[in-house]
Amino acid sequence: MSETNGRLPLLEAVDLRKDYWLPEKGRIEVLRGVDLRLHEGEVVALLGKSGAGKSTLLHLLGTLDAPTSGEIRFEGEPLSTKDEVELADFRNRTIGFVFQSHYLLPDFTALENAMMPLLVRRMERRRAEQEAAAMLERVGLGDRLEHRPGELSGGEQQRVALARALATRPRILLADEPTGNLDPKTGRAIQDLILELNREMGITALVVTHNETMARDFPRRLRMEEGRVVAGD
Amino acid sequence: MQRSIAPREPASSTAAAEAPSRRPIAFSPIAWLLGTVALVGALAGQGAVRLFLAHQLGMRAATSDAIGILVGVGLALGGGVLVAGLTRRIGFWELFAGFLLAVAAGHGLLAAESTAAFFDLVPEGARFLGPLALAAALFLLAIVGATLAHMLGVGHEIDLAVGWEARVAKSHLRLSRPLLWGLGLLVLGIVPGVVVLALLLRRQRRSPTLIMTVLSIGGVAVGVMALCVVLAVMSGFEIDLKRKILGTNAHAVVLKYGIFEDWEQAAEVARGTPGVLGVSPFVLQEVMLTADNNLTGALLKGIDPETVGDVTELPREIVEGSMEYLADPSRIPVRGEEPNRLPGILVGRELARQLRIFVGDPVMVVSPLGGDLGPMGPQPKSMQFRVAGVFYSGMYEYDSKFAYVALDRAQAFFKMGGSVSGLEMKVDDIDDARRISRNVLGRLEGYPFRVKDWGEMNRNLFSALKLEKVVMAVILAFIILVACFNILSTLVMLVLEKGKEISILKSMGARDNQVMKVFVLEGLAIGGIGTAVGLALGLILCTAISIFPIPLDPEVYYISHLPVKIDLAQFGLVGLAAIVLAYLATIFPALYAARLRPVEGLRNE
Repeated sequence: MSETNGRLPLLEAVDLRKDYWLPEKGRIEVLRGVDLRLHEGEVVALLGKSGAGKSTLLHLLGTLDAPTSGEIRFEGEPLSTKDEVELADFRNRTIGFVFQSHYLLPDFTALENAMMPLLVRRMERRRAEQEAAAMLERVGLGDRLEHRPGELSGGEQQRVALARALATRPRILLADEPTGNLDPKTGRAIQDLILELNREMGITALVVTHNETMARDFPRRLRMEEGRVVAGD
Repeated sequence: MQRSIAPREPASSTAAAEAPSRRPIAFSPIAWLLGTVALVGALAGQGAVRLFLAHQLGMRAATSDAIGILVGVGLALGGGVLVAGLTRRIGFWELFAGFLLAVAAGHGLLAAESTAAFFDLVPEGARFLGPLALAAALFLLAIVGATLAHMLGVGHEIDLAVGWEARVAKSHLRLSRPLLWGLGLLVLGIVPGVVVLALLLRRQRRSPTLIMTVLSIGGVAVGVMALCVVLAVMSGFEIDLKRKILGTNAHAVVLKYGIFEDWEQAAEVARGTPGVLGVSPFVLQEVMLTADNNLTGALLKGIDPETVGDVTELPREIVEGSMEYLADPSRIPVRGEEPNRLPGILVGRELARQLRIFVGDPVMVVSPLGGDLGPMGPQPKSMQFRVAGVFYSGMYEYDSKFAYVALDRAQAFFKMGGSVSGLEMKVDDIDDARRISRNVLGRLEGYPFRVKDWGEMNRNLFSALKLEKVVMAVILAFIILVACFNILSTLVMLVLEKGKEISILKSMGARDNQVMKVFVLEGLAIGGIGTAVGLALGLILCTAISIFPIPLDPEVYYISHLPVKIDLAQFGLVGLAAIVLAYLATIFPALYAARLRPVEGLRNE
């Protein structure tokens, strides 16, 4: 990809390795040296069978877990120099997560759920409400602000989760099988929404999926096998 | 290909390395030093401040004690904050090392004569445990300071807000309005409260944590209530005892080495001292009393009937006869013929009962000394008195041992001439008796005069009472401690239950200290509600005991009903102690939650 030469990648993984120790099986190498570059504005699908290390890679890229070895750099700066507080702020300001389950707070309304990362940032409540409401509006839930997760459908819940991830206007969206728990039609709608938001907001996105047909819509696809990124196109 | 590794620009990585690292420091000797200085300083400082304020500035004992303790608490808390700020973590090991040194220093100070007075709060019987307990309390306070500072981001970025953390905490505890109403009703009446809570728990059966929460609140409430009621009853006993002792005895006495003849001038000086309300002379000797065939030992006190009412309650304690008969014995009613010629004597009700005497009966007072010299050595001297009155103070020891006669009769009987044993004084503030009596001594220019206040005269009794109260408080505080373990287990359950939620919050960028806040707030909510309910229940129970007295056997306890003294400051201290214990109980689960790695709750998807 010649057009990336000379430009600093937004997020870069260098020889990333992750081992786990299991009492019965001993050392398990989940990631065996992953190299990856995400450029500003890219939207990338990460394909692979379950157990290939897709989720682990996503967690490492999002600083939810620390690699056994290797390095992750954001705009060229290694994240390993940051302490816990800086990493938390990095997650808050730069990264938005969407998971397979929506993980919404059950006692909070859609609006309050979408506001959470802004409140974590200590944004003033009124402004946080406006930003979160605008983002819920954008994902098509303008009329569901005061509903609790239990009163929403699966697709709507995932939209709230998406709005929550994007309310902070992050630079990178990391999505771990966001459509995995949804029926194909709803899943398709969520995926289209992500692609749309990428075009609209210029957000960089890495979406883990194991659905080959859905992944065809992505301009760039990476494939993982046995803890390595084996192919990209 | 994008997988090739581009050479790193060295500029950016060195820039990152040069930026000041905010990582926690492994073991900070400076923090350790500061922590030790703070703990030892708090230990010695509280004593030094109290002694200085009381003795150099002449402050009231209660005030100087309070200020001294506040200084100690402040130093310990401040030391904890400093250590947390310097180490950028809680600094437990630094503080613990400081604690060990503080225990050693405390025992050193206690062993040294000149500094042992720093520990005068420690009861005599607990000399060894005193510094240990004091240092442990200060260490816990330092931990409170350190964890609070850590939670509020001292050393990183100070972050006092609790907005979303409080909302999340509330949703975890499911502290709905009906639940709080149920607890409120529980305070007002057990039955409706239990019904409401039972209905509520039935409806919200889905969450075992709600049941745990309610049980934890109940545990704290029961502990706080028990401690409050027991302390109120013990205060009641103490006050009752104090009232009886001070009713019969003066607040302070002036004594003199040698013969006390110039007592009238000394009485004038004492009367002119600020804070002294009354002065009265007295003579005191041990004698035997006989009436018919009955005999008992007694303390014979010569008093001035005119002024004795200014210093003791004696005139108001006469239950039969009259005080006036002492000055004018001829008015004593005598069964039979002629007017009385014998001098009058007042005896206690128990004494009268032992001697089987009533007002108007003759009593023989026998003193082994004071008689003429006979062929076998000094002969006992005896004199007839007539019972002029019977008093009842409520203290068995006084009612069975004391007999009063007019001062001049006593002086004549003991051949003392114009001299007295001492002067009794009444002061305007009994807790300040020591300072006022010292002032009197100062105006009398010291030696050969000396003064004693009621605390010194009854030291054994009151220090035993104080020790009993402290031990009782410590034992009952264990109930609250057990209740706080309830809080701990509830919180641990909550942390385990909410692992996923913690991970999500962290993926959103919640900092460790913010997650800590969530669980500390939960623990404090449980502790706070439990304490409030317990204090309210304690107050209601104490009020009920004082309105509907619980009878006691007066022959055994010498008090007709269970006394209770509602001291709001004491209630406040119990509440504060309960909240501090509840806070300490939250530290472990809250730190556990805060230190969970974000990926922990997401892994088993």
